[in-house]
Amino acid sequence: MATVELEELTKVYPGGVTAVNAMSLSIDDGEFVVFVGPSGCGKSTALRMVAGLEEISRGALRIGDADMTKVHPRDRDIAMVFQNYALYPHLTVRKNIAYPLKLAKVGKSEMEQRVERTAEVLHLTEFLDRKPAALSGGQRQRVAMGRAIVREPAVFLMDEPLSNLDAKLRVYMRSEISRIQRDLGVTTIYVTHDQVEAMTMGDRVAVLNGGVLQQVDKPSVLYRQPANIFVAGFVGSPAMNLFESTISIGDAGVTVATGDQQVELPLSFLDDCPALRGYDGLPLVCGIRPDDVYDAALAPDFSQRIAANVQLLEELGSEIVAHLDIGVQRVETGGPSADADDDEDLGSAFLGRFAQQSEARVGQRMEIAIDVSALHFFDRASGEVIRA
Amino acid sequence: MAAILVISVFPFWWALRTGLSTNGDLFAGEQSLLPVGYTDNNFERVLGTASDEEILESLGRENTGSFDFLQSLQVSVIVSTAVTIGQVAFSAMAAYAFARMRFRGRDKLFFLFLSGLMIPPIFTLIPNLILVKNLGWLNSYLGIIAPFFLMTPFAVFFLRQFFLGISREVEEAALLDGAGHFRTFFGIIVPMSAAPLATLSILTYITAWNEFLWPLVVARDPARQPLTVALGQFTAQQPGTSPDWSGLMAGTLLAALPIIVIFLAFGRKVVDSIGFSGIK
Repeated sequence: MATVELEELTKVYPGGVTAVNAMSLSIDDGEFVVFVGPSGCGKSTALRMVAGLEEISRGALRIGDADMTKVHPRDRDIAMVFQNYALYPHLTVRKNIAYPLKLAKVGKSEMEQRVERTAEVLHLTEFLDRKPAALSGGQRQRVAMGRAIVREPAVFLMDEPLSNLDAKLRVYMRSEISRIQRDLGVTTIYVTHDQVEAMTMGDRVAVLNGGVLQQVDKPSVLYRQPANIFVAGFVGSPAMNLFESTISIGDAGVTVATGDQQVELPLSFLDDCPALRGYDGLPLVCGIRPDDVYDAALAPDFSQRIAANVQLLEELGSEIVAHLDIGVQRVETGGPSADADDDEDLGSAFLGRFAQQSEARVGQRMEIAIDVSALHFFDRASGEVIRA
Repeated sequence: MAAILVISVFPFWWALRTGLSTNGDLFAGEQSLLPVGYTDNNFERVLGTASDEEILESLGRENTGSFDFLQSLQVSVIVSTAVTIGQVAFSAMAAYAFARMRFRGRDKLFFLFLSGLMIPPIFTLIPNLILVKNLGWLNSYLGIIAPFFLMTPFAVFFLRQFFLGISREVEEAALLDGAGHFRTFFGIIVPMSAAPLATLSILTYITAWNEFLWPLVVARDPARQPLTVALGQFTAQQPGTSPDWSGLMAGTLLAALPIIVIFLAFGRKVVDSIGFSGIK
């Protein structure tokens, strides 16, 4: 086990494309850190630099106390699980798991013991003599995990290991990987494009976009205190509602314009967000999570309300996701949710998560309640959150 | 389908029918689908186990031409096996390097190598002959095998295409597991490529077995002549007025037997490989 330090890690490909730009991050011993971001954000490249599969163009990598920037992959004391399993198809499960031990010239009896023990942890004992072709996707993934675990490395690296599994198996394997990582206590870097996976598995989540680390923090902090528009739009499902707005600060409170409607914030809001004073009368980006938007009929505690036209209702059983038109355009964040919206022409949609008891109907004009204490404000030019 | 089958099989049947007939009866003009004056002396004669009386009986005269079938068979087997082992091994290593290893000018070198496909073998015959002669390898296994022992552009191209299709992640996994290039190649890539390597081996073996011109030029000594050349020499020794068709057909059939066995055993693979190569 070991700490991992990424110091200004940069990858520039021949031709000048910068895949990862000056990424700095300290990962504690035994910590589970998830790199998340949309396709092409540099998360896999960053992981591969840690693995030694990509040369580091600039910056430094330290694992434990050792500088690993130019060390050969096999000497970094790391193990990696790949997206496509990368099993050796001509070897049985037993030999696949034992392969790194064989190369490390571990004694036969110890090798057998470690393979058996690993197989038990991963519930693979009955499949040890099968070849990968005779296994299901989940079993193959567990064999790949086994090959990583059996080495007892200082660091686990996992590159989208669940993306080839079906939804149900993915949920199961998610908890399995978390359990195994917790049991073994090995420092782990996990790459995924699935923000639900990232939020549920990581002790901390590092959000990347365009090769730049946007924010790294605990999942709950990312969700409640996004550092910029990209993180706000990327983290959370459904994504945060982001729209252009202006504020005006008066003696009684802060007025936030949402299209031709407005909501009032108490002046005490400025105590937590003093920088907002500098934006009086200026355009900015306002955000609120769908969880903080209610059917007014079911939320008597929230006094700030606006009118909305119901465009679409997604009944999920326990709740209803309402697509609403409040007369404002969503702000593009570059995240996947923005891409998904392109297909349905829901550029004006403002999402709310209503309780299952809601009687909202498609086409109806209704009143929605906003928890104004949960509003986020971002600088329109830089995209950074306006806070302190 | 039946017609195609008949057309394909008929030459073999006709060779067998002729090989089992006596020359005398063949020249009598009887046109039968079955052997005329059935005898297995021709095969015995080719194998060198027939007595002078038996030769006289089946040939109707004294033996005018002969070759040591078993010796030529041995030469063919040694040459084909050595060429196959060498060519497949070296081609696989070269193909892996072209597919996966990063070195300066790799793609240009591969293109140059591939352009060798456009050079007709006859162009290299004389330079190779001079080289082999200067090396003192005429009438030797080395001389017959050398030009084919390393790689051919086709074999390298064939395997490179397959290696390119192998997931790079498998190799990266091996690298992280602690394997170097050498171990990754022999421990992971080669076993994973068993099917294309077998296909290439079959193709190479058949090509080497059927090679005629090069051994004809470098192996004047009958003891170093493979079956293709020995059969040619045998034909040349026959009098123009009454060639020994029966002996020739018996020898041809025996010479083709190993290839027929390969076809029967690995028919599907051979067809696939011919389909892949598109050049046979």
